[in-house]
Amino acid sequence: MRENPILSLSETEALALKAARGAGLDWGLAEEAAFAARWLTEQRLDGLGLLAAQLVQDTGPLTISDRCWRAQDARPLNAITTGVALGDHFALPDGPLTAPLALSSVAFPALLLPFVATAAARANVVARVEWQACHVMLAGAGILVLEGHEAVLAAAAQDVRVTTTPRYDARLFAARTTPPATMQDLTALAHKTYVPASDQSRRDAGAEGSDNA
Amino acid sequence: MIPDPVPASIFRRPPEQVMRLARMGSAHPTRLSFLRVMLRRMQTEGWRFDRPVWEMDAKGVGRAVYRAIGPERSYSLVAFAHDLPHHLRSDRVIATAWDATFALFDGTPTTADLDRLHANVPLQEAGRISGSELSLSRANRSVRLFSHVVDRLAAGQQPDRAEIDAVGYLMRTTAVYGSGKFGAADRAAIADRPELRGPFQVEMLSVWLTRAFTVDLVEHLAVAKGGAAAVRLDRDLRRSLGVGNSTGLGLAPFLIRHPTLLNNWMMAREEALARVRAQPLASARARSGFRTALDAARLNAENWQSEHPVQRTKLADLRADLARIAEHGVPDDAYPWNGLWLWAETSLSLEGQEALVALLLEPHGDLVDGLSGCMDADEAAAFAVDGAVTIGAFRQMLERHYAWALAQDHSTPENIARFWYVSAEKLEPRLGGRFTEDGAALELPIGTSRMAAELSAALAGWPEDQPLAGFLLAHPEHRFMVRRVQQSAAHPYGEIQDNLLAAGMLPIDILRCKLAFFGASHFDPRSDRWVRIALFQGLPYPDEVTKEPQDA
Repeated sequence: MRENPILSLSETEALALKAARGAGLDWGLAEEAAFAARWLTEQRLDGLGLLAAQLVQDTGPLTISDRCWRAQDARPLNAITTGVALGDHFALPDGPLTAPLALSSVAFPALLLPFVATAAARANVVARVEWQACHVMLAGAGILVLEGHEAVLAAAAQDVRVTTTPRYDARLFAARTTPPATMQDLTALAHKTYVPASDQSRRDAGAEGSDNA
Repeated sequence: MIPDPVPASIFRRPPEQVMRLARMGSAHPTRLSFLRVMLRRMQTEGWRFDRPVWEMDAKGVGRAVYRAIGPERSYSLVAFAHDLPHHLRSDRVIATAWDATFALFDGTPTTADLDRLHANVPLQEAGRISGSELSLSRANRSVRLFSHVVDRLAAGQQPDRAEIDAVGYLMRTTAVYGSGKFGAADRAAIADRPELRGPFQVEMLSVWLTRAFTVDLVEHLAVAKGGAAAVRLDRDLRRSLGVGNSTGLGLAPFLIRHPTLLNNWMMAREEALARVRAQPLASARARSGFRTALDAARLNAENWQSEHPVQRTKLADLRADLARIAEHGVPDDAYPWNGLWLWAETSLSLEGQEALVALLLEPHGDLVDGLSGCMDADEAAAFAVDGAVTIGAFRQMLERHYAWALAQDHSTPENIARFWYVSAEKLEPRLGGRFTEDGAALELPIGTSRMAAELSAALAGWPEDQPLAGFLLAHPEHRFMVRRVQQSAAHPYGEIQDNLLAAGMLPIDILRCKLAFFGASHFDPRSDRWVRIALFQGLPYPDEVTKEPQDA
């Protein structure tokens, strides 16, 4: 292989699948790792780089109890297995649909994003994933980094918070206030589309004669 | 009197009948085969073809470009011809040099593109192509026939018909890589184009243009050798030449790795058969079309040669069964096609029955051709596992769709005798003996029946009302099979319902099914895991396709 080859998405996926399997993941999880690497690459994030780092990271097994997601020991959580479990539990009481979810110490948290995005799309919700200074919104097939762009690819283990809101909730858009100056400026412009009234137009606009007849 | 119409669905063969290796290994190409679908589109849309580049020396070394011009886009086969010493010629994937190498370019290549491809395409796996290319492939000469044809044409004579029939092609491809391999464009990048949405349309186009190249090359070499005495190849002889293909085990895991795609191929074909069987009457035109197709099939079966003992038996069955179909004829009763089919199910071998599927579809283009639009698959959409389903509901699904697997005994050595793996040498899939060879610890997840049985055993004791997510967290080793089981609910024809680890399993059965969907003829096993076939034999060339009657 030459230096810095441009990999197609299917090569990305195939390499990730084999590498994940080679690193000891079960086949079904290796498929998920490959999916995640491809998804992140499609979002122009370094999916293969994150996966390569994750596959050699020492991580602890996940345990879920009373909505508390943490490793069974002091090691950080593996973002692939945690992301997969998050997808599986998404619509269940242990998942983030009913209340915000806190995950303790996840290595390479960006690897959670493909799984949360897929599950959120299936559940028809918008998901927000937050860690460190980073705040990511996932809606449909899209990803929007709202804050902390540089922290998206964080390597060190992070506490992660996942919340959801209904995807077509009008409140998402309607709940913001509008300053009086904006209202004034736009209303003045909108007013330019109106035709000034005349006696003729007033007469023709309604039924002739009295409505009290 | 016209009988009442009956919904086609009641004539559909169930997966447990269709998805068996013995039957899949008797599959015949049909009018839904991918190369037929491509040629029909070119006819309907009036595609044009040219050869903008032909830079070839007297030894037949150089490059050429064959262009297919569709209503919206063009595609160009870039061909590099080499002077290959005999001792380097190998059809195996371990080869490093070939008689000719190709890439299918997306559009019309510039000279700079050709130079870039010239530096990479001849290297095949060792080179890199780009998102401007859709496939990478290579071909080797059929040495005997190639020389015979060049020599005869150079001398002003036509080649022997018998020699041509015995081989059937001037060159055979030994690999056609598409879908993002070696840097090529991803399928996702082209799947929204109507002409490439169907399965393997890129590969079919590449091979079809390769066929035109092989004929141009022998005619070029004949002129170089014979000068003014040389003649062109007779059009009828040319027509009977296809492109050969030499294929090993590599194709087999594909069908197991892509269950939703396999389902869509099978379901399209089965729906087509059901629609024909559901016809209350047979028109005179359909009866005549059926007879024409049967005559062609009988001729094809006579010309179809193989040295492999299994295939020789199947060919004998096929020839006898085609004769019996001709003798039986199409009944005059209501639902005549169904009558013929039901007779065949009890009277013919699997080889004859599956040949009849193709024959029944042939005169019913108006009824079945639209199904070719249902043969691609959105695999990403079927990928996610549903962890919220209860263990009880999942277990029911497993028992319903994998009853065939749960009934197998996976404890005897002969039932788990094989394992599939990827060889470190050239990374090709191979089949090993579990008890006689090393490497079973690295086996590929191909043993679907055993995996289903192990999943069923692991589920024992888990409460029915619990969500599957908890089981998956505890048992990640079963996630692969859980995904397949969940996919099977919407894709009932996605799983081969046989033990793929069994000692008696024949990989060539899997190859035959896949190659029949490509449209391959003259399936000729060279071992239980290696075959030669021909593509496009008897079908039109680029300079003929739009001048012929529509394939309806």
